[in-house]
Amino acid sequence: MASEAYASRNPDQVHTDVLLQARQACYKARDAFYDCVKNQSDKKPTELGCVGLLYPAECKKARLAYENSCRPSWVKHFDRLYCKEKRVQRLLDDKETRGGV
Amino acid sequence: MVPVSRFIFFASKHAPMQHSLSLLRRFSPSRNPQSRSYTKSTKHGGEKRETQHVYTIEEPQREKSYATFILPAALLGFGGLAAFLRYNDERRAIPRGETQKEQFCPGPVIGGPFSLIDTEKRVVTERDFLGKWVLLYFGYTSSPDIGPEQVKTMAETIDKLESQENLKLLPVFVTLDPQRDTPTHLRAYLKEFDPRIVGFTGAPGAVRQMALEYRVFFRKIEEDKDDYLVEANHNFYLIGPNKEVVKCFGPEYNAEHLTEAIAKEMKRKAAS
Repeated sequence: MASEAYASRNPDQVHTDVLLQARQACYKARDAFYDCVKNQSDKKPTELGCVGLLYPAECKKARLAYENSCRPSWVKHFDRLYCKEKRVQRLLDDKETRGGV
Repeated sequence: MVPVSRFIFFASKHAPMQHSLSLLRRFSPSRNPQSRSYTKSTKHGGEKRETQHVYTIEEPQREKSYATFILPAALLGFGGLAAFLRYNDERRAIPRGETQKEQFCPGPVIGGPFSLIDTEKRVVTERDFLGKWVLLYFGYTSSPDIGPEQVKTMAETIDKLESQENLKLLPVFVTLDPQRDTPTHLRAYLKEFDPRIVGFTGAPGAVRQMALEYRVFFRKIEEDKDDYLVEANHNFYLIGPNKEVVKCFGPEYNAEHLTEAIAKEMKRKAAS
């Protein structure tokens, strides 16, 4: 199995990118990016993120920092969570504006 | 019967009598044996009598015979149905007083033997759990959010248990991702939360075997070569001194609730 060979290939490697420091850095970059998306929500979202996430071009720098400090799978995971949350929020808002229908 | 007699009735009204009679004589006895039996049973003189006559007389009588038959039959059928329902209820009912005996059922078997290696590369088996209270958690170090949170909860819980309740517990982290979580990496990861947490890893087959025994669901998602996530149910297992799983706690428990629940279980066991 290729994956079993992977472990034996690097028997004593420590993946520092999931340890506390890197994790915190990733969370910080992630929050900065989502804050940017929130603040720039009046701009037209043109850039494509991971799982159908669209963000304005103004946040490109934050996005780059975010992608650099997190693993690609983590970025995907967080983007998915964000989209889900937004969808739920939209549905809730929709219900309110419709009022007594 | 009804269509035939109706036809006769109709015929007698509208067609010449002779014609309808000859028709009846020709067909009725042979085609419809029942009508013959009726003519016999009514004892009005048998075949020689005018068939027309027989039918007209017979009409109300037959209605009556139906009625006399239907009523007892319906009563009998209803009685039978009621009796059957009563019998069925009695058969299915659980007699009072026997409920305790009947309901005893050993739950699903959770846990079992395993052979893995710890972060110091020593072989560990289920025998190392004997005589200790163990808080077991299945996770992986590459988890983006819930994994670190759960390990943090674990570290806080053992702290609280020791300081508030004076209870000792062996916290164990079993990785579901042994390909990437090598002993060295696992030690470095767990040291950041609490150095007392013991990390177990091992051959992928052995880890899978243990996860199966503890009924842990896990699968790789978002896979891209060596970068992937593992979807799992992030449950804690509280294991008693006899290696039995006492209780299982989901990720909805925070450190306070978990401490409370574990202390309750441990005290109950000590009291009994």
